[in-house]
Amino acid sequence: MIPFYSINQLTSEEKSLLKNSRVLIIGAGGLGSPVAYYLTAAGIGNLGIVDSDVVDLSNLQRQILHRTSSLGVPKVESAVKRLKKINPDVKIETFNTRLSRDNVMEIIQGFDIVVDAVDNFSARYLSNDACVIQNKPLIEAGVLRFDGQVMTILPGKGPCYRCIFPSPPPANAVPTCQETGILGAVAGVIGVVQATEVIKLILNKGNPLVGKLLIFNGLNMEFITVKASRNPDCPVCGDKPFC
Amino acid sequence: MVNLTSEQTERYSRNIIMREIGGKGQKKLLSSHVLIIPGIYGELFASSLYLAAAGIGKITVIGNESLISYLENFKNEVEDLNPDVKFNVLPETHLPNLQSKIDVVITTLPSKHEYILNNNFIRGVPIVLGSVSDGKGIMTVVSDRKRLQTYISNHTINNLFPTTAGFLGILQVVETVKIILGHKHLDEPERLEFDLLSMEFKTTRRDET
Ligand SMILES: [Zn+2]
Repeated sequence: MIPFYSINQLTSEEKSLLKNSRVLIIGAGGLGSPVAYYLTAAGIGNLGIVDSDVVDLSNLQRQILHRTSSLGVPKVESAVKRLKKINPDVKIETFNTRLSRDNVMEIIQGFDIVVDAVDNFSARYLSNDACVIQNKPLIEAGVLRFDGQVMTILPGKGPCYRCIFPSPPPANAVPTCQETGILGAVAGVIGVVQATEVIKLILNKGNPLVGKLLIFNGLNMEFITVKASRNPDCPVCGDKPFC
Repeated sequence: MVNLTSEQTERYSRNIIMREIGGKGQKKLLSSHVLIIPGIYGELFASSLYLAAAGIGKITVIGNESLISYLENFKNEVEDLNPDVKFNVLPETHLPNLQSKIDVVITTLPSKHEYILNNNFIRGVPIVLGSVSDGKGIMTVVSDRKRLQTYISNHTINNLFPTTAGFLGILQVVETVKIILGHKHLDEPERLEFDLLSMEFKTTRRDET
């Protein structure tokens, strides 16, 4: 008999903290898949998922939330189907839309924590700015090839994305994963770090990646942490925002 | 090796575009066989899904009757994620009769390590080995049995943080893919140690040990 260990160390108090929390995941792709999968498995009670795409064959080398039988189906729909199998009690609000200036403030309003699992800079800056304004924790990440990075943004307590990267790079300056590729498991590693950060914040456990950028190099199997601090001149979270 | 179909070229386009994989590497992944000797559920699910997504042609899990029936639905999930993949759960007695050779073994302690040690069928096959406890874990690659024996002594496991096993399982897939593609990988005594609660990581290199 193979010994199996699926030990749940959570106390009933911790379980109810997770059950009563509301987490928004922006993107149901390479990062959103493991984030949603692990948050659901951990017992988060209320999820929101934002994505306007449908499942495409080229997604399936990394987006473990979707299936070949769901090709052409909206990703939010495919995600709900999968997540309900893991936990039938999870409540999921879906937003089959593209995050924009017009909807971001309203979408994030109903959630306690936001996870940025997008693949483009405009959505990244939108969610950063909206989370800083609404004072919501944001778990920010990006992946490319065999590399990834994650940081946790607690507005007012550490740097925001704009403190470190003040403005979006010019269009086409940064390659997309379509152009450079991505190993699915690398997105998986980074997505699980994001889910871990969410659970830690809810349970108030451990040290979050605030003021720290975690950088993963899969080819070297190495993680490094780079310290970062708030920029007093940050146009969003600085001393004189939007001046 | 047979050529990739146009559907496969599309499915694996994000792999193929990388020079570390390419069309040649993708064909290697598709013709490879990974054996999972499970220790922890969370790790088994995570590694199976990401191995399948990458296009590992054959995934075999060693398990008893109850695990085989437990994983019946999961087999369908894995093969629906990627129909190029054959996912099977077999009792250990079938291991010597497997039709194709095994390229990599993934396992997590505690598991049936004495079985790995004593089985000639997987002699010399790299073993991507992990262990976890609470939010912490260690991963290494072992292909020398003496090293494995040292490694597994005195292993204990404590209550797990909800993401620890999955994190390890996915890291093991990254290492497995690199081994199959012939890239540099961890080699015991080289190890990755992680602590998800403190978010501290350490990779020990051979020249540091
Ligand atoms: Zn800022």
